[in-house]
Amino acid sequence: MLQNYRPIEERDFPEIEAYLQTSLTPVTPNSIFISGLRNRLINNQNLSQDVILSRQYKLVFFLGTVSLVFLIIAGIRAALIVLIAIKGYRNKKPRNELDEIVIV
Amino acid sequence: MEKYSDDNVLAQASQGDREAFGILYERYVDRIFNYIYYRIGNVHDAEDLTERVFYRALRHIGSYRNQGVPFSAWLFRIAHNLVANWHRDTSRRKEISLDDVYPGPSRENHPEHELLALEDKEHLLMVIRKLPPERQQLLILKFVEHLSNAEIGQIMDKSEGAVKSLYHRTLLSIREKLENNLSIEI
Repeated sequence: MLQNYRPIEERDFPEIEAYLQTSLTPVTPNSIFISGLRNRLINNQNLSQDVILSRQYKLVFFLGTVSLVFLIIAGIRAALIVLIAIKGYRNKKPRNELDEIVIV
Repeated sequence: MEKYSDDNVLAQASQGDREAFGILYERYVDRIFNYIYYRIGNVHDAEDLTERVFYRALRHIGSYRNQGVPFSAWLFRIAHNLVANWHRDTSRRKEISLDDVYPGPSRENHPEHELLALEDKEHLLMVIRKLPPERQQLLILKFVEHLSNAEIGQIMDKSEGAVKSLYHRTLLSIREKLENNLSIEI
């Protein structure tokens, strides 16, 4: 079995490699972007993207938590109201039936 | 700028020297941009992610320790993580559009030839983007960045032999996909 073993050669696929070589050529980024980013990094007067993002995430998380708490409270309140209404209706029902019997 | 080695400049940059960081930035920005661009196929997002890579590097350069992994490999790992997050966030993979592709060096050719070459390139990029992220990373580091297997191994945290083997499997898979596409077109 070992006699059939052949080490992996880098040049096993010359056509594919040539195709990749000609297609995957380095691109030149926009020079305005490059110099602008360099200035921002060195001066760092603006907040970094990561800091902005992390602040945005914190704000979204805070607002989300507050909204969720309000929703839960509102849900519990609505459920209580419904429960009380159902209970009141059930307590009221026998009296109505009696009234109907009396009427009949 | 080139006369200073990465280690010297890094030592200064890690102590808060912004000019030193600027030197490192100029050395690696093109490579990082290229890596990101070929991974996501969109110039504007590539610029955005390149910016994030360097801001993250700036924030954490104080904690960077040279433990046999070169600075470039550290930057590529940051870029790789951000690209992975980008793919996760966007969920759908963007196809490269003709507007987003750089025209390349053959400007003196006929527009028809340029368009054909561009379509050819787009087709290959489409095939590459369907590969697992690890294989995409390998191809870009090899063909765009022209790194050796040893350097790629440092970035991908693999042995040279493992990189070679992965490369072989990747080429095999590309050939199969291209042949399949060709038979469908015929």
